[in-house]
Amino acid sequence: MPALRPEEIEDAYRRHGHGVLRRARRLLGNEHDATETLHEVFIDLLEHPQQFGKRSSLVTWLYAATTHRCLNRLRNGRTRARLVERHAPAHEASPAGKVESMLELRRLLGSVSEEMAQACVYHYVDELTQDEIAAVMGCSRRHVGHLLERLRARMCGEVGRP
Amino acid sequence: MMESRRREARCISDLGLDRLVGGELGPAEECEMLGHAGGCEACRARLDAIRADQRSFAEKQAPFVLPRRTGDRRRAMMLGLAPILAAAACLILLFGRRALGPVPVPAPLPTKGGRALEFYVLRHGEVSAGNEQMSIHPGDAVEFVFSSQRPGYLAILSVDGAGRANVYFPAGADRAAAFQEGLGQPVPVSTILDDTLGDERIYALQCDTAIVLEPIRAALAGGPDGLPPIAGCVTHTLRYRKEKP
Repeated sequence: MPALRPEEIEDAYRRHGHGVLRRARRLLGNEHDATETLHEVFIDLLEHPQQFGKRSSLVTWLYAATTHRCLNRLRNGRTRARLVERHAPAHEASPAGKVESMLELRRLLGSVSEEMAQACVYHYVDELTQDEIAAVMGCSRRHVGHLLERLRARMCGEVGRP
Repeated sequence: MMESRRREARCISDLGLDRLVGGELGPAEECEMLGHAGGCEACRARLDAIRADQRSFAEKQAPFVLPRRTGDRRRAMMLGLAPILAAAACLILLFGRRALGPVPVPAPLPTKGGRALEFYVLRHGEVSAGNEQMSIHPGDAVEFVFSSQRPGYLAILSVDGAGRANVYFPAGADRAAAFQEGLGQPVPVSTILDDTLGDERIYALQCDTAIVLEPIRAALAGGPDGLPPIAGCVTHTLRYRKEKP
């Protein structure tokens, strides 16, 4: 499969960039990080156009790439905040005003495997069907079902914890 | 900014609507979705909102930020995408790929075969993701994060520049500690580095059982050749250089 050409990536940015930005805002909860994620996704595509092999739809591929980047940011952000808090508590305050359920979700995303975190995003944030999740993740619907079952079990365990 | 929505099971997902708006669907699929949206107020409203969002994004020509690193300082150029593409193409042609400078990309999510052991450094109130090329200073605080696809037992040991071997985690314990599966899980101990300079090697042992640590620490202290394979364990290593600032 031929890789995307730069002019095709520019067109994709204008055509699909809004969707990447919307999902990144929802997952990360702030405009700055969402905008950086948007640019990282397309810069990465520009630098490595072969990674989208035109085997799936570009929108589907962008969903996966955005999720990957956002999960990475959530993880790095948590680690940074924790380290600063532990050694220099006066430097940063935790941001207020976030929706509690999304905060809980973001916390959960860091405590499960990458596959489960992705399935969690597609199911609970994007509200995709299991068929759609399978298409974005490149796995079977049955596997998606198993991931969601394990995720629910994990969430029940979290609720039961003091 | 668009609000999210609670979708009815029969309604079209945002993925479907994004593909519709992006012109990716075949005629039959497009017809089916438009037919549904025509009779479903929620989907029609969502489709209109996504179209408006797409128009707004394209009209504003949202600036394309190309972040770069110069040492530890990060700067960004706010430019349109077309000039970026043109400039990138020219630079590649004129100077080769390195001329663009490294584009900072977050470390990939550890997956099968990915990096399981990573570390972060706190220096003068600023946190940065650690890498094996960076210079670490005495007084820096270091914290490790570990990613695993399955639960097990974890121990982290170090050999400092003077050849001394220590157990970082679990501190003061005889055996490896239980560890859950998950991405980037903080190892619940962080260390302020002492004054011993030189290469410091870190060994994370991911094991099936709670192995006894003293023989492993002694083996590390006894020789410069690293750690021999340990039955039931996978060893992840990293190394950084501790230097005077």
